Amino acid sequence: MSKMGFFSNLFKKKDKKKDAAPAAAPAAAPAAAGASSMGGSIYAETDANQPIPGYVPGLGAPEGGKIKLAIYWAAACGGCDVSVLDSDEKVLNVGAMADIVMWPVAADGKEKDIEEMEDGSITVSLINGAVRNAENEHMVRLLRQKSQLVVAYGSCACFGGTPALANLIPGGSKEVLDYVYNQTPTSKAFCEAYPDKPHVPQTEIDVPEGHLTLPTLYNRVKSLDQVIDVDYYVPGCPPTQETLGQLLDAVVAFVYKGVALPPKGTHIGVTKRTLCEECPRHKENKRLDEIKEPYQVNIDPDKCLMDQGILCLGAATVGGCGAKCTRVGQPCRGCYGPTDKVTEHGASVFTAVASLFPILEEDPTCKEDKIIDIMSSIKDPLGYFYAYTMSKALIARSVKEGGQ
Amino acid sequence: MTKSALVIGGGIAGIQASLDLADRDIHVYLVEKDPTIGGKMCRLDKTFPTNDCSACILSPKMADCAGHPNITVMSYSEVVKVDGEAGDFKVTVKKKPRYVKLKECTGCGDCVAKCPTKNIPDQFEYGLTTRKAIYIPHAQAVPRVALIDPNYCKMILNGKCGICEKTCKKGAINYADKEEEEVLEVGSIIAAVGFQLWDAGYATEYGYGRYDNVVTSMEYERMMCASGPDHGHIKCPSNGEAPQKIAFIQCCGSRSEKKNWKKYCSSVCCMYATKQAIITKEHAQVQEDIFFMDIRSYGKEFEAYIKRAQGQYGIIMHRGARVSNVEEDPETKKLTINYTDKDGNGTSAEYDLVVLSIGLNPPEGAEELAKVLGIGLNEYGFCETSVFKPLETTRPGILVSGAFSAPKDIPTTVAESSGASAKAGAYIVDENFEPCAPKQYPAEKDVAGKEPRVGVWVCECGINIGATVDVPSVAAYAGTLPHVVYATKTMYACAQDTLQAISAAIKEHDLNRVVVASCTPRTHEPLFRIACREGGLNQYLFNMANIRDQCSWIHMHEPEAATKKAKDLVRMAIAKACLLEPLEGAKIPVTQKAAVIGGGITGMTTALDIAAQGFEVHLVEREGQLGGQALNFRHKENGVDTLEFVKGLIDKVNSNNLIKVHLNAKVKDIPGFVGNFNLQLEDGTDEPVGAVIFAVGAPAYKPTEYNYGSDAKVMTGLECEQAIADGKFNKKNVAFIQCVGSRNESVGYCSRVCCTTALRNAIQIKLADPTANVTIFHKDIRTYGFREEMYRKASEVGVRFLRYDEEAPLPAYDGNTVTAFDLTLGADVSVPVDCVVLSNGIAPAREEKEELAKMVKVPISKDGFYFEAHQKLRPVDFATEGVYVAGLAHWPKHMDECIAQGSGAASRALTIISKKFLTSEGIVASVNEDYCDGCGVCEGCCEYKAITIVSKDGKLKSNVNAGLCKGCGCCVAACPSGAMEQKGFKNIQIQAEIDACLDYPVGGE
Amino acid sequence: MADFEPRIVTFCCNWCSYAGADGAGVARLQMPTNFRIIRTMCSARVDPEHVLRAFSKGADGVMILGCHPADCHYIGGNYRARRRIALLRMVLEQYGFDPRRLKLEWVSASEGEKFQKTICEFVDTIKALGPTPLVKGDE
Repeated sequence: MSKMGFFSNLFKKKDKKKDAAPAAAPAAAPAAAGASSMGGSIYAETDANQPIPGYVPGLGAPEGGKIKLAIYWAAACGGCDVSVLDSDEKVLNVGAMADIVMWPVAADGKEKDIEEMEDGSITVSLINGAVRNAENEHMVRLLRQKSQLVVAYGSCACFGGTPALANLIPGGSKEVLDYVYNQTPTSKAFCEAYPDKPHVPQTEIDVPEGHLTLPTLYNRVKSLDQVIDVDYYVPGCPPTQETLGQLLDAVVAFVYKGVALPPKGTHIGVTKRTLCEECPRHKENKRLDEIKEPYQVNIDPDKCLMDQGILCLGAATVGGCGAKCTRVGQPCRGCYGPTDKVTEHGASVFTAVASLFPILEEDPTCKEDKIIDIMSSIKDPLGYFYAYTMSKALIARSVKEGGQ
Repeated sequence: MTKSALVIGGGIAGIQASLDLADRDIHVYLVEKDPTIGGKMCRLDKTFPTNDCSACILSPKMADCAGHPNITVMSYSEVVKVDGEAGDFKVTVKKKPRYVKLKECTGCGDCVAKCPTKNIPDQFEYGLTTRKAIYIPHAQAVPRVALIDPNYCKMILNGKCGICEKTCKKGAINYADKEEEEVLEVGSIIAAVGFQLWDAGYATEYGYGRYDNVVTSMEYERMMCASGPDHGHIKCPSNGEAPQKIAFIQCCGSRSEKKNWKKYCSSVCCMYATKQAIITKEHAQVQEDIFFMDIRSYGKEFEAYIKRAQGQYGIIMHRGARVSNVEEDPETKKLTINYTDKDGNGTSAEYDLVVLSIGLNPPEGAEELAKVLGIGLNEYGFCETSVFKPLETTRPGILVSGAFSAPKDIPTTVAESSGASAKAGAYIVDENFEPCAPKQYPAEKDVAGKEPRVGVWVCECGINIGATVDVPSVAAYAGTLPHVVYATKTMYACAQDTLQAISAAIKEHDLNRVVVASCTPRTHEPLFRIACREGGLNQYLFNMANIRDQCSWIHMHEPEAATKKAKDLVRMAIAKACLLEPLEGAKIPVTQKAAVIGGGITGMTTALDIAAQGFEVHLVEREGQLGGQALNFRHKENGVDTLEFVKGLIDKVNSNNLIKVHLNAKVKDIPGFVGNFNLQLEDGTDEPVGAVIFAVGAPAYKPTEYNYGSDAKVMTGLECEQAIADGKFNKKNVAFIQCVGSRNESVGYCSRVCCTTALRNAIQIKLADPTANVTIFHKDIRTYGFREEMYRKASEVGVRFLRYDEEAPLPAYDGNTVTAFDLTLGADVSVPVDCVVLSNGIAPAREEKEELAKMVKVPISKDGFYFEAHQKLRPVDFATEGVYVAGLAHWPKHMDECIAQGSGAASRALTIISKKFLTSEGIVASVNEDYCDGCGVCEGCCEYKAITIVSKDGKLKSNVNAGLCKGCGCCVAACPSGAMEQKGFKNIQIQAEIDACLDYPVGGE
Repeated sequence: MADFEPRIVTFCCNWCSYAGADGAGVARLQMPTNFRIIRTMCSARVDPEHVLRAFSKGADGVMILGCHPADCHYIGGNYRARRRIALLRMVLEQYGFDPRRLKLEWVSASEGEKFQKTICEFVDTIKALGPTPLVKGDE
């Protein structure tokens, strides 16, 4: 049910029993909360065309017949915004069915305008990017207040994404700013040329024109749901156009036809299973003797990349993207996140990878150093296995021994 | 109608025999004369050489017996008459009156507390404490119910009292109770009545009974025991102070011609005294001396134990020192031991406490019982058996096991008891045999979707936990935790009454999870699981917190921190328990055939015993003929030629249609798992079998010493035996050299059989030619049990013994004389020789064993023999289910011991292959196919090949064979998608434990 | 760091190290109370995720004890475990943890004393390292 499955996935009756914290979870052990911390997809079969009996819509139809849409770009590369623009003629449909009240990259709409809107008057906000600074936080809180639905759009909003790798910088924002404005070659040259001038941007400064402020950079990059309540998740780096279409269709169907929305927390456009299901490659070896980079291998188009020594996160990553990367010989890097059975994407991948290393003849007698040597063939495991999900990792930032 | 079996004696021997028969689906009556089963073993503190807590390893078996659907325990009963014959006995059992209704009594002890008649010596504690007229034998008694001693009860004696009747809320008291008789119809009988201890009162020279501070070893055992009268604090009886110096005097009542003493060696005292010395040392800094003649550490890993006692624990061993007498200082009550030191000088030493290592005697009433059973006793009053029929009495259909036939240790007893049950079963299993129907438990309540309702029992384990951990506060704390609806403390969680209380509470409080905080799940989990089933709860909805072995015992001096830790452990156990799910084991079909590897005496015995119950056996022998090493033996046992016996055995095997013999056969592989192995031979044979027995033996050590092979004067013990038998032995000056290839730097163990072999040959030589000079150079003479008679006989016929130092190199030999330092004379002694007989020991042949070991994944001990599942109570089992070991493959041993163990292995295998189906463990891996895409990470890391990737509806899925899965969980951790789970150890369950461990500050609250 | 009482999570395999821990108890070998044992059937059942979870919940140290190489009750579970733990240790080091906070050790069923020694040494190590560097609530 990869691409076409969205509708059947979307309109699911909310199963109260499942949704409630499992009865078996004691207060002392909030394990169930942990298991669903990535947001669970709940699938139950209902007729997509029929409003669910007894369903009381939480949202009313908007005035003027159009829904109100906001799109916001937090800490992200911009790819998510481009992916919306990239939706060809569908972007026109968006215009036809929605008033875009805010979309900094493509449309006007100031913060002030949003502030003046009544709470809940925006039908849906698509927020891409992680929350990395005070401005991000302020804006997403504002949008949450004004919106009926908030969608974490793209892997950064869902899991922290690549920006969240900054969490691994031990000195936090201070070290980031220092590096960028003092240590990089160009900055260094500037520092030497103007030793008396401040090099690192200040958060507040008085200039002749008045008082200027810049947002504070946070020590820890967060996923959207670590800051505000999120209704839906659309993972992907960036999300596919199909997924965007499915999302908007669902919102429209709900608003105009009263068709029930998917359960809160649903990851839109993902399958239940892993990327391997969508990947056409064949597995045989199921062991890793040596780790290789894609450029080092004359990649066999039919064989599993893992079998060819290329670290692919597909087996640990939920499907729905259509295995776009592996089809063209690039390993999956995990942008869709784990299945809802897994609490830690990174650990689930690297445990599997470690398990693929074969047992050696010398294993019974060899020292631990030998094993450490073997495993050291994996470079930068934290960066590789947590590339998209650092904010959601059990340990979501670097630590410093001996106190901060 | 299918007959039952009768087991007489409820000690470890009777318990094991009953359990094996019951597990083979034969109904058993277990008759015990005492009010509780457990025998001597349940009075022991620890067991050698592993220092396992005796009660801890025995009580699960006692409870198994009590709870086994196929066992009827008849305690406080005696057999008074046996009519009929093998296969059809009618046995009259007399039940002594308890004056307490067995079914009504809950063992609450209220009556005992109120009983006014006190100060009656407590037999269980060997009179070290007193009890009342109404009493419960001991805390872990099975059945744990009260009884009245009519010799003291005032109500029974003169009708004045009746307090217990008024006290008992259950109305269980019945002063009018009468002796009853019941007639049982049984097919066969196992006499496992054990032994009694030698009466130390005869040791007048050691002052037992006269001197306060002279105690017997059994009394000392109780003094050491945490559940004993002084809670394990060893005190001098005279003043209650801790002794600084303790002496152990060996051979009390054994190995002596003195009046009322026994001539035989009691086989176990050297080891138990050493054990007592070691355990004492672990409690306190005490000087301990052991006075002995020979140290008889002939059993598995015994030698290393003795070495450890000396080296690591600093226990002083007075070798060859016979204590002449003990004197007491009437003022200080200190004791002076007068003894002859190793240089032959009379000397003395003072001690605070003297422990007499008393021997083993035939059981009380042995003669009477022998008369009732119609069986013979030997000259020592033990049950008469023979080397070739070690488990059979003189009457067909009546078997014997354990110490009733000779003094012996627990593992030998257990192996024999299994063996006796195989023999007993053969009288019962015929074409009309109907196995017992499986035990029906109450229907299991449906817990799906229900909020957890947890019941928690926190055990004091006497004082084992209670003395360190504040058990009441732990129980109270447990009661405050979420989902806990019932929490209580208990004195012994494993006691019968608590187990019943657990079952009852499940119903009463509608519990759907049970947590017991006590000892280790490794020994006690099965017991509590049964209690859950009895209460109508799936057994996997149970969890344990280990607050004894891993808390109170290792934090004895930190009661507060230990209490906090116990609370944490209980909280963790509850957190996991709340998430447990009911599990069902898979039903696995069993191939009802066995494979026996090794066609020597042991293997043939095993094969015949299995075939005797109607099951097919594949007997694999690598040589061209059956018989093994015994084919070389030329001596007689009990007047019968060994060779004749072996040939008879071969004929029986060859003429048995159920035994398929594979000669010149080499095992290629044994893939599979319990109930479903494949015996693959190199000739292409591939036979399915349900169980595998390793009876591959062990070869004689091939000497490299003394120019063996090139010097014509030098021969091995076996070659000597053959020469004597052939009438070719004509040497005048013979030296036997013991411990060649044993007890040295590279081979740490004693080969057990060489002393007896050397003595047998030496006696033959002297009898044939009284003028011959025969000298035995030895470290210790280890003629344990009735073999001591040979030692005596050898001395009588003039064999000379020269004891050399155990640390010294082997005696020197220059081609004409053998020279060694004689410890007794204190000088070098040279003996001219024209023949040197090397008592070459038994070599393990480790490499050969390893080949087979790898096929079925069983371990090998550091000495190179197979390593059984448990040294004390599972001597023929491996940890790998369905695979067993017997004979020399397990450890060097005598022929009768091999035969008994061979039968024992047959019995264990029969408990598997006699059933059409086995139920697998519930804790296995399982695949959630909704999440699996067959990535195969799991497949590669399963060592048991239990996982395959299969195509289901065109999709790749992982598939787990529950029968092959051993439940390690390796694949579960490996699974990248979260599709794989381990039942009973699911991710959320482990996570809950971690969270419960850390979400609170250290120490709970 | 005198009053610092470390919180240590110890994973023990059922067959060797858990039995070894029991053995330490049977022998009454005394040791600090700072550790709590979680029993798994095999060291290979310990998912690095469990270790990370323990650290994330504030554990100062985590130990995984299994059967000695060649002695695994499940043949090679400990070989898998040592690979995973080696990789996990790299990950922890990247986070900035002192890798000594994670210990993998082999303790057999008969090694009560080794169990005691391992616990004592590890508690000392963690006491010397100080509390977990993971500080909650630092943004």
